[in-house]
Amino acid sequence: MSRFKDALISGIVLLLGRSGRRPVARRERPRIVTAGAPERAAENAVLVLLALVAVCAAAFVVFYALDRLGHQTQWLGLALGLAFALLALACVAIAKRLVVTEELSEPYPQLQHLEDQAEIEQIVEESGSRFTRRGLVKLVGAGALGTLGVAALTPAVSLGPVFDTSQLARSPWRRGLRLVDEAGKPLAAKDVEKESFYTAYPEHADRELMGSPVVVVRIDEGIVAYSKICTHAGCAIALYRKPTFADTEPRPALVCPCHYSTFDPAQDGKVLFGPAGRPLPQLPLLVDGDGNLRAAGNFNRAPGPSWGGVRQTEAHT
Amino acid sequence: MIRGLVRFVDQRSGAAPFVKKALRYVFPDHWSFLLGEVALYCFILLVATGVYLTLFFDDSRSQVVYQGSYAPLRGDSMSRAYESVVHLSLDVKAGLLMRQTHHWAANVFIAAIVLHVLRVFFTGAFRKPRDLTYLIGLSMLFIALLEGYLGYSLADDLLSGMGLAIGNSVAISLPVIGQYVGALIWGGQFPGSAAFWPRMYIAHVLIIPLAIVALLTVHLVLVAARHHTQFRESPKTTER
Repeated sequence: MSRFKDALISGIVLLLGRSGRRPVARRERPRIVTAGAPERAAENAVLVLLALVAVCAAAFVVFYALDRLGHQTQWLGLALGLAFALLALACVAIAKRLVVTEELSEPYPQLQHLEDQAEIEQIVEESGSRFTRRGLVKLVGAGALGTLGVAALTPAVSLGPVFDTSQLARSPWRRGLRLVDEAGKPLAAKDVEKESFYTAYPEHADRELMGSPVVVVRIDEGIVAYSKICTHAGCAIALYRKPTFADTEPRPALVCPCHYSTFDPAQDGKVLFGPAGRPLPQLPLLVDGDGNLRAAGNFNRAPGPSWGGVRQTEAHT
Repeated sequence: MIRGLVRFVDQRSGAAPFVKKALRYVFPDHWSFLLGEVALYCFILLVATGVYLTLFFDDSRSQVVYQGSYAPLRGDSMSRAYESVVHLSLDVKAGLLMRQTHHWAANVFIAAIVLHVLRVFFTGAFRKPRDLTYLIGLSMLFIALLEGYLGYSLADDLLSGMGLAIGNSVAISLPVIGQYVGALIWGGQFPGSAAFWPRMYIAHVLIIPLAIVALLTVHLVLVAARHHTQFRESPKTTER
């Protein structure tokens, strides 16, 4: 019982402070920081806030330990977020109300040390006074270090086929390859209807290649296929625009939704509008004995977004 | 306690004069001077949560069939990278919390840097002798943007695929050197060789964070050496 009383009294003393018999602070030297009056209200607020931080942090551990808690992530986030928010509040209260602050003016640090600058220059000059052909030494030294730098960077070339940029024009298409839909089913010529839009891939080939996906449409002249990758920035040609205004747009056109590059399927993928700098690559087609569409060769130009010199590059398998 | 600690540190490092100066550092009393600190704490948070994420993330693009706990995706083909992200988000306790904290800290990081740059710009704090500090800060902004882009790309979801496709088209469209840069970074035509993912990964978790740490150190040393810009003394509180 008396132990409990001791604990209670010491707890109260801890909370309220020993205002009655505060020992006189040892004052051997004058204060550096200006004096400030105590602020019990702010101090109490900080104590409460810090206690709440501990409660929230403990709640985080509890939420983590509970296995069958619905919305566990949200509870964890709430507990941790509150803990940090309350800690921030406590810090603000401490900084604004409790830590002794004072308004001072201070000159900016010295901008430069003229004497030291001169001495450094002198030391460097004098240390190198035994060289007789300084210009030549500097030139050769720069050449040596520069070449060494180039040598050190050379292994980076192994990262990729730097000088073999024909890679960029790669396409899986070749003569005789069947066009298949997303499910892998061959695309029959009779199924390709006007005013509709089909996406096809080369049979048994990697569909992630830039050159793989094609769009197939039926126009007045017959069925045509183009690379589905816009020649501007590599987005997918995902729209087949109907003529919305017959005077200027007499025929449907292939449109990339990213920046509205518009290509004419009847004129070898000519750019009608938008930022694309070159026509859409066309895939020559043939119809086999079963009535299915097959490639009659590779694209007539490099598929994918454009790069310097792309107009001189042909698609290659 | 303070006396003992100070003695311990000073006797072993001789840091007492610096610490004394730092404690009496005249710091401008305005909230806008804390924006840079917000960015700094975001960076610390990003490193902490990022380290946690690396313990679960797999940087491989090899295809697997998802068999995890999220029913709508079961049976779908996906990369190991994305599978590990889904696993971390849905099956690891507090995994989604760590991932989302990383995500939002990255957003706040960029926002805080931008606001910090605005404060520096509009208070004229970019001028000599702080011009170098400013330029280092600006380069950190661009490096942070690249870092965010890589993090966005590593998850290998649909957004990251499109983002990388745009990045690739931008890279190869550079005049004269574009095709070589693209071929070098991606190891060929987009989506690139299998080695591209580990390349992005090591850049995201090691090379770029190290670059930020190095620039950050120089940035802070320069700030401390040249001191903060200060507002004019306010007439209200000046006793002269």
